[in-house]
Amino acid sequence: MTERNILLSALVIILLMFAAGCGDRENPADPSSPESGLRPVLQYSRTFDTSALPTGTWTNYRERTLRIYTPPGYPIEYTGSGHKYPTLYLLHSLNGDELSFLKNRIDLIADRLIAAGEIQPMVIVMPDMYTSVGGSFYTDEWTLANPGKPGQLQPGDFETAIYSDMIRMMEADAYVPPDTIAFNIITERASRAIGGLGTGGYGAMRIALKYPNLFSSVSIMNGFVSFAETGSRNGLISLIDSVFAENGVTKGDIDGYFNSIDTAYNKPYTNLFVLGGASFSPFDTTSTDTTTTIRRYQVNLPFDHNGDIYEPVWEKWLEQDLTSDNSYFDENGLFGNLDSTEVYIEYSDNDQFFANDQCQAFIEKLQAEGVTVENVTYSGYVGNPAEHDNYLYNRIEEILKFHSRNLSDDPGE
Amino acid sequence: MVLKRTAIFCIALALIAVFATDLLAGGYSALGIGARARGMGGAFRAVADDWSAVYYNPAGLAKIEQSQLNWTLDLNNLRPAYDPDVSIDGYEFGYPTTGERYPDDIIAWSPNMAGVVVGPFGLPLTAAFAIFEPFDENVTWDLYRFLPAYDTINSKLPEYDFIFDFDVIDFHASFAKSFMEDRLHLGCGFSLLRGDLYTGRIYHEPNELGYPYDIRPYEYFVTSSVSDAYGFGFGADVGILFDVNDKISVGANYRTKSTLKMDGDIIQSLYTPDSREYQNSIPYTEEKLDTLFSGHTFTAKHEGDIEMTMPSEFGLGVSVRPSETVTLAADVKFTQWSELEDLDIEYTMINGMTGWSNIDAMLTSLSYPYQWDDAVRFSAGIESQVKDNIIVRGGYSYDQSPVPDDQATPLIIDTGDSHHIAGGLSYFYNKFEFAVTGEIVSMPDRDVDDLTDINDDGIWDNLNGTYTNTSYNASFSVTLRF
Repeated sequence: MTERNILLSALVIILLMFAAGCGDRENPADPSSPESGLRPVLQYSRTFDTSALPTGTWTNYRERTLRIYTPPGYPIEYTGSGHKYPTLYLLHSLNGDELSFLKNRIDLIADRLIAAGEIQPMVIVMPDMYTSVGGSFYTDEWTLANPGKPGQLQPGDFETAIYSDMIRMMEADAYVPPDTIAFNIITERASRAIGGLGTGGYGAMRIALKYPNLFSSVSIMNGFVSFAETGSRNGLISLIDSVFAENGVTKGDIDGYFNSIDTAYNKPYTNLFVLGGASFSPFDTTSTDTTTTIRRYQVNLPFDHNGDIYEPVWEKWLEQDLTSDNSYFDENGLFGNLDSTEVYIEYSDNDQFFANDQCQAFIEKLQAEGVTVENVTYSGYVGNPAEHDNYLYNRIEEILKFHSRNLSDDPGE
Repeated sequence: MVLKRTAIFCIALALIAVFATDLLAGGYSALGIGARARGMGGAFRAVADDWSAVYYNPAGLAKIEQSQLNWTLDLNNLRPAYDPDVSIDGYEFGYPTTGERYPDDIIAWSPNMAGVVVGPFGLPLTAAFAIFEPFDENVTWDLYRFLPAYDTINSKLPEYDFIFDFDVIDFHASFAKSFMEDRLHLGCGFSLLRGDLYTGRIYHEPNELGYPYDIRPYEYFVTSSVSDAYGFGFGADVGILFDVNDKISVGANYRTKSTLKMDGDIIQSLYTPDSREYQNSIPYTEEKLDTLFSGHTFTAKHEGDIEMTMPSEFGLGVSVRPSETVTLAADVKFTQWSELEDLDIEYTMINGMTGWSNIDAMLTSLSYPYQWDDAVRFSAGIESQVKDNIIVRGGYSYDQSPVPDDQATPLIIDTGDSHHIAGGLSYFYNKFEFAVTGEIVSMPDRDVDDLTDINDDGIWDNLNGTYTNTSYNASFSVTLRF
């Protein structure tokens, strides 16, 4: 070997040693990114246009964001072809939004349960139905005034937005071109479920009753499903004292009633009754009865300045009450629509909105109607009792398991 | 025959290098100094007869017979990887478990320069001045992702969330003299250290609001920090080299601990989760607790002092020359990493405070614990003159990691006890020596599975997951003797 060959050989070897580590390395794509190659979509935000909701000057109700959980293995391209998944729609409660369940790790919980084989892969859709007073009861003909612009009304058809617009968008009805995306989901009743927390629980059951061809499985968590007091059980109406208290108004103070009862971030009871008023008893401009009208919101409350139930308004609430006899649901025989629907109701035994009593009353109502209900009471831990939604992350697992048991993964094609 | 052995030697070295799995120096030390010394695995304390003696053993400078100038370029190709597994009760905490993650792949380059003068100004000693990097680390990660509760339109993380770019340049003057008929050599050196630190990370401040405001996923507030500082420090070293006979030499060196006193800018950001429910339900207080759930990002830009410690070091070496053309050497080095002190910011100017004590407290706390273990490095090397103008060499070293599991983060890429395989050669042409060295450092996988807060400030000081690292390095050197 010549001197030159020695040098060249050694140099080549050393350069090879160095070059051995020069290859490109690609980091795995972000799981939350639609462009991710490893995990196509974990959460997917999009705006859907719904003609059911109005465009306001102070809140744009028309554009709503969905968060969509897709299971591991979901195809990267939303072609609408390939493997299709069942779908669960989850409705948030008072003061919630599209992140309510994600904040409580529904994505990670679902990942874990799917990996363990405890639930089947499913798509989970979570819409934003927040309003300036914290939400709605997911009814149509919801009406609220803009306190900043007297006389301006904000109507909204939340029920239609959910049962029609959102599902049509998810099921690729070419609804909002060119932004329409075909999701890989099964468009059969047996593969659709709906659930909700609080007002969302009311909304989920309301929609399941009214549109029985849509959902085969429905769940309620701490739902506001009984407005009246039934026997020893509290109803939504039992929160009247809390409304007076959190506004610093004493019963009988008529001036305080009309001028001081106001919604605020830290007044959940007032928010609940105002959004209930917008849902069930918006002010009728042709009426002369302003006995319980909160003018800044143009809604009628079901109680007067003495804290007494005001029957003309209360009757409107009871018409939409799921538990009351002679309600819209009762009179139209809608409970029979649950014959082929799996029902799950869960309540925390220390709910500050008395949803525990309301759920128990509703369970009895359903059982009297011959509906089979799977129900669970949750107590939390010693020293940390379960309230309205403080243990949501603990309970999401049970909700997912319930719906997974009922949902069909058969695309039916 | 000689050439054949040379070829076999080179091939064997290459095979060892290719199949070796890990490599890097302990802590944030550089891999080594000098193409020749690195080619022998760092076993150089009892050889030390070129400019790199200023680092390994200044006494060896006295054995240099000709004045020389050297220029060296080190290229270090670091390839760390981290597979996060950070969770609480089975729930992820912002580090997606999507598999192994990599920092920006970079090839760090470091030029060194040195001059050695034999008998300067007629004095009976040898003097040297060198500029080199004894401590160096550069790693930049993009690891963290907000959980949904924190992912608001207002929250924007830095482009890179785990950064550790630390360079220490040593402006080093050394002197050496021989005694006992040139059998005993003594040397000393003095360092002026210039340090540049650019570091940042994500950390989680504990939510101390109490129940029900600290339930999942609000147990922690996400915070980030970026510090950019520079400063100076001083150090010294001494060495002894004794030629037992014509064939055997022993050497030892000691380097003092140095402290870099740096000042610079610190940017801290607090990313609050977005919870309408909590904003609404928290009663109004002067402390504006509801803002902690507003989804806003609070950013403060401070100035502060940062001190970083360079540990003391003691090394021993022995070299044997069984023939005129072959040198064998072995070293052991003890580095007192336990001398490190926590990296705490001493804020000299605080800007951007909110006036709300609970938030401001989180924007003025920053501590990087450095409670490392002492570490030992064993080295062995061989050098053989295969032709009149060609010397080949090879070496191996085993380097303990001083970083315990409870402080393992992606910021420190010393992921475990490392194996170093090195080889190289020198080619002599007229008054020039051209040297080249290749080196692979391999570290085994380190599995960290226990989130730990060792300084009780409520912030995790490590991150769970699997760490691994392999680096591929080269060194090129030109020496002019006159």
